Amino acid sequence: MVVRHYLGYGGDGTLVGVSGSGDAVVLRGVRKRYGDVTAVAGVDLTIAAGEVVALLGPNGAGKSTTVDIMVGLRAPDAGEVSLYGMAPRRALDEGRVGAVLQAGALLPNATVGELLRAIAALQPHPLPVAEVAAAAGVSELLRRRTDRLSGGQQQRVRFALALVGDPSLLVLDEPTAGLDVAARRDFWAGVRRYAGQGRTVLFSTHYLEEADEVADRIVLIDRGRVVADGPTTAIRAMGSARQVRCTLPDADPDALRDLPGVSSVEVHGAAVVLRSNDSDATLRALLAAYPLAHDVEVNAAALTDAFLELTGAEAH
Amino acid sequence: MGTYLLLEVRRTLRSVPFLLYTVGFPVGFYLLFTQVFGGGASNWAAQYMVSMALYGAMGAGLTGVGARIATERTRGWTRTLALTPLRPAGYLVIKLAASVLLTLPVILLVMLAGFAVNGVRLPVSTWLLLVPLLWLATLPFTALGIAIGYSARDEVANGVSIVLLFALSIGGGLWMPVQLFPGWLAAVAKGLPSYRAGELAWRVLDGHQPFGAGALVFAGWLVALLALAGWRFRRAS
Repeated sequence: MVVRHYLGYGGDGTLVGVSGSGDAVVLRGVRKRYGDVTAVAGVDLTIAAGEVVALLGPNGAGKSTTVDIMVGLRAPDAGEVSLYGMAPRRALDEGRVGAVLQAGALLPNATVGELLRAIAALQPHPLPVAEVAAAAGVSELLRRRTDRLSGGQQQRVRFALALVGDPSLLVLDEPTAGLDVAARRDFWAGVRRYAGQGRTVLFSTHYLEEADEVADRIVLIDRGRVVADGPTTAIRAMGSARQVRCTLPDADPDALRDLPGVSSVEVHGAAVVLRSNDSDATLRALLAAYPLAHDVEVNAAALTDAFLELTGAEAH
Repeated sequence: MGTYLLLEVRRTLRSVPFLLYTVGFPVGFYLLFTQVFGGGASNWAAQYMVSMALYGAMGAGLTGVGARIATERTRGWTRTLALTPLRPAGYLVIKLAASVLLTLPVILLVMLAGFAVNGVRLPVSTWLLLVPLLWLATLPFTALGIAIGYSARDEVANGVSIVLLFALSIGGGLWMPVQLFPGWLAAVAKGLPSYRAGELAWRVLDGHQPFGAGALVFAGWLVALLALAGWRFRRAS
């Protein structure tokens, strides 16, 4: 069972607060079905300018469809999408959005430099190719043919292609899937440089570590729905929460609350339930301070169940 | 769009299969069939020259450009383009312009072989007329290639366009004159766009103006294949 848990934006299909055109991304009630399969089952999402947001979820959660709809490559069955207060197509035409999507082979028989210049020429306010190449870490590849690049190099070139229009919003759909650790690190270094200039980044991933290291906000998505949305620190705390249960006669809730890691205490007669962000420390302190505590159990908190179910084995 | 078009032309000219099959084959076969199996009618060298130029130009349009659309669509390059201000119609215009430019080296090289190796001598006005005429003659096949490019996945599109290239060029009398065909096959050939396309140029060599009664058949094919390409394009985008 997945627990619906809202930490920030959204909730039951309604948006909290009023979103103006200053927001980089606004999705309202977006739905998409492919035949009998519901890929996106009503997503509401608002991303303010300057945020770095991870769309985190297992394979098949609807991340790619959501991203495709966001950049206007697929029309939603229902709902609205706006980027900087305009339709995605117009935002793309104005060069405000760059994206690295899945399944986008590079054009063969061209050099990286030629490709960057050709795409730059299509954009209304392109950046100098040399500048983009440096930002994406492809300066030494400009004369290389696109069919002679490693996976990591190809991905950095695709990143450069997304940057060449000088976008203020960057959308990345599982950009590091299939890359090794070094290629992954190089890729994210480029994204961090870009985000460091105060621009907006939304990326999808099924790696918790990537979301944790790069994003300042995480949106958890599962079965086409947003199931949690909040600052990365809050989501991380969800991941470590545990319940410690024990039987302890005459327990003093206030004293128990002072144990390390404990965030909340419930006492029902002799039954005690502690919520903890560090169950190991809580347990050691509990047994040392209260030798009479017995029938001790440590469980993942309900939210953690949901979280583990969401992020799957890949994340751990 | 100009920069992108230039890239399109340059990278196609870098492709070894394109150079081999689309440029090398027509020139090679032209020289082979005129030098080795030479003789025959005195205007054979000139006639076969425009036939092979047309075959090469058809290849550039049908397999060199049109069907490559299928590859770019299948492998996702068109998704990357969709994220730029370039619209699908603009992309198609670039592909059409590229095919027009890419047929030029084929046409010129076969003509050069005719002039330099086989001693084909024509009035300057005829040489000058043949180039745009062969461009026009290629158009239905480029349209067919585009239709295939928007209909099939890459391997299928490649295979189908190569089969069609040979069926149409051989069937239309570009490899051997229709006069040598048995009667029933000649009747079929005369209904094909490739024969009617070749006829535009052959008529000029015979001292006629290019557009005779057969030009109506050509025009019919041209309109039909352009419509097919337009329909497939709209369906796909």
